[in-house]
Amino acid sequence: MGSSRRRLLQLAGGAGAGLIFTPAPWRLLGDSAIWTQNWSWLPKTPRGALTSRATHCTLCPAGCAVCARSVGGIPTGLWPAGEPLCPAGFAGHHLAWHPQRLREARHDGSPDAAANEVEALRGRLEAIRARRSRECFAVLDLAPGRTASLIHRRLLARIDNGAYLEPPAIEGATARAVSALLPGNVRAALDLQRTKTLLSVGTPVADGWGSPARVTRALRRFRLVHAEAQQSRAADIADEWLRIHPGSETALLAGIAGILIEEGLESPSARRCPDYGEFRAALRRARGETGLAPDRLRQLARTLAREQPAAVVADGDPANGPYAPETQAAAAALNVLLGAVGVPGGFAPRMEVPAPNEWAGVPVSAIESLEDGSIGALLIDEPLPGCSLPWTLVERKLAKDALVAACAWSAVGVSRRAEWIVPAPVFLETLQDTPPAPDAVEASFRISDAFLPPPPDAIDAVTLLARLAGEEMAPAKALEERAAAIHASGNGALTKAGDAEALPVTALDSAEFWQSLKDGGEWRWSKETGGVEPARLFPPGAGLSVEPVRAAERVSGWRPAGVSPLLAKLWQESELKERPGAPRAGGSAS
Amino acid sequence: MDRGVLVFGAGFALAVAAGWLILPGVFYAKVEQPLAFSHEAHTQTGGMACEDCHGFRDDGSFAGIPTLEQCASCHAEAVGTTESERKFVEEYVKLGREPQWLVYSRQPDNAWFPHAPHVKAAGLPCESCHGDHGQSNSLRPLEVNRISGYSRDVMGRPSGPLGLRRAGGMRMDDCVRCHAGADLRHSCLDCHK
Repeated sequence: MGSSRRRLLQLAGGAGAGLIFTPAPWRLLGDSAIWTQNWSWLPKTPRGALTSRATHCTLCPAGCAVCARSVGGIPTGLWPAGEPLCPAGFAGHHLAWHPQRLREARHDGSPDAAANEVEALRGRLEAIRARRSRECFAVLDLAPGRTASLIHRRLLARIDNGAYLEPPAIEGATARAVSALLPGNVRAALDLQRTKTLLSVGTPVADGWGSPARVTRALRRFRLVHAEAQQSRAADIADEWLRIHPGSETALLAGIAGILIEEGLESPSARRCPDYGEFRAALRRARGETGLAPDRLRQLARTLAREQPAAVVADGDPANGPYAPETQAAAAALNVLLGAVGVPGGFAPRMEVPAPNEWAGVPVSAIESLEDGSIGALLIDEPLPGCSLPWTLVERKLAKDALVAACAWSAVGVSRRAEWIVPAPVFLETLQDTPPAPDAVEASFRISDAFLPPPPDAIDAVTLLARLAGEEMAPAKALEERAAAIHASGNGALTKAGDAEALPVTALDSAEFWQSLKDGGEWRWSKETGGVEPARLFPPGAGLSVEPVRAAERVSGWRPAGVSPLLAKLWQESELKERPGAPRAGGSAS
Repeated sequence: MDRGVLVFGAGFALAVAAGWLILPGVFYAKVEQPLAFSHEAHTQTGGMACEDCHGFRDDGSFAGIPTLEQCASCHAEAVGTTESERKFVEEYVKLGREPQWLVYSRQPDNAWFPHAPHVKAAGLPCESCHGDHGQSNSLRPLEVNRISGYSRDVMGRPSGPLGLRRAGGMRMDDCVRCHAGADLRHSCLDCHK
């Protein structure tokens, strides 16, 4: 049998037909299909021992206690440790794998070494020093109130012309305005647990403000009146919704204040304020249309005066940002008139979390307070998603050749404006703490531990700043030093994770105290002060303009909580949020 | 007979033979375990049971391969005289280095298999899926599919002689057959999350 092309084709044809009756082609098809489902870049399910550890969610000031379930040491789930948890907290462990997470250092959008950012900043600092310029080196802290924030201020004191900047506050803005009226450096927080009546102006008190657990608990005990131009979810949840005209918040607050004074319902402490007469005169000039009937406004003022303790919170609107200083001043003054300042059930004094004495640093500055063109180098610390800041607010403060660098979780936030940007370790990648929530009248200290290694290029702002200042400092060391200072103060008590009872700090040694905090414990300190009399009704120099505020350069967004794209969508589009109860579901508009 | 038919038949026969006997082996790479290990020595000579090393954790999950810490509880010093024993103690136990054992039974990520309901609730012996692995005197190489990366024990041609099915098994059709035999009916999402 000779070979020919015909024979070869017959042999190949037979082989082809035969292969069909073997597993080979089918195996190849199956394996190829599986291969397409197992690309190397797809996240793999971790394998290993299942473990659970208590920690805290430090994504927002609520600082909820959580239990982290890990597989092979990698957190795969967070769930509440006793108290309700918001969806951002439930998905907090997603942040490290967020699609927009920054994983490499960049210079003008191209990958570069993180060490070069430090050198660029150092070079810029030396240039400022060499030409004896008055330009400053500023740190813009987009998550203020943390231990890291104190360290920033301390390190900036070691750098020539260091300035520490905070963005305009939204959540807690009324508490800050009220604190400015108290003597000394007393900080106030809304004592929601003992409030009987609360007027919220645009502030989503029952819809994400403060600590979800505390607010949900307290909501069953106080009457919530919500004033807002639109029927938001906060308006829907409230007992009563006041549909006011857009931009008439100051007019509403001034109107209620005027009625209280007119009917002699103001608190005696308000009458004793040295600027009482000046405030009355300002009120007479501040008449504005709110959209509410005069009788309705009078009835509301009487209710607030009768159903005590009553307080007013006007932090700002999540969609439109903080209110103008005039609105904040009017809200603070109204709280004084209602006798809600410095007392339980109103804005009660909150003790400060102790810190080492040697941590004294540069003061906090508002961005607006800096001269235009005065920042020679700016470092943006953006460790969390969620903060939005109009760049025009910052841009005009920059010198012509200013260097802008950032330590950020992502390159999509405010830090996208930076020339240099390095990834910052995020929640569960580094030890972090969170400041107390605006509804927490107790000083508290709680931390989240590091479960995961951060990306190789990651540098937190504290470490970067310490390198510039020629010091050795890292967030973990700072937190440990602060815990030691708390322990040394002997104040407060520690509740270990899983324990119901709190142990006095003095019952623990310093090492045990620190270890318990890392293991999910929480330190709290409250002290009944017996009331603090407000020193003024109105911050010095503040006005009472009732003109609608211009919409330019407003910080928008709420607290940093945009973690999981999937859960953020569910949160916005579903009814996942806990509602206090059926009777509250339908608020009535007046 | 027509010569053409003969040539076609020869090609057919060659392809069938190659397809069943040679080609399946080409799909798999053989990877050696880091150390020689005898299950037989532990179970027969040592008198140990499967669950002494492959037990359940306190939370009910299956621990799988024992950790170095578990092994070191007996092998802090060399127990036997083999080269493998010396290597294990010197290069792993004393250095605290975890041996990277290759797992024949590792299921794909999309398959969810809990041991507890099978072993504890249904009372299945380990051999019903793992065969006589516990009596083996050495560890055979792991056969890894060159394309999918899966172990041959969980996906692919049955690894018995001539591709014939061995007793037990850890492939999906093994699961389905066993469940159907016990009149257990499930949906896809029970196992594929």
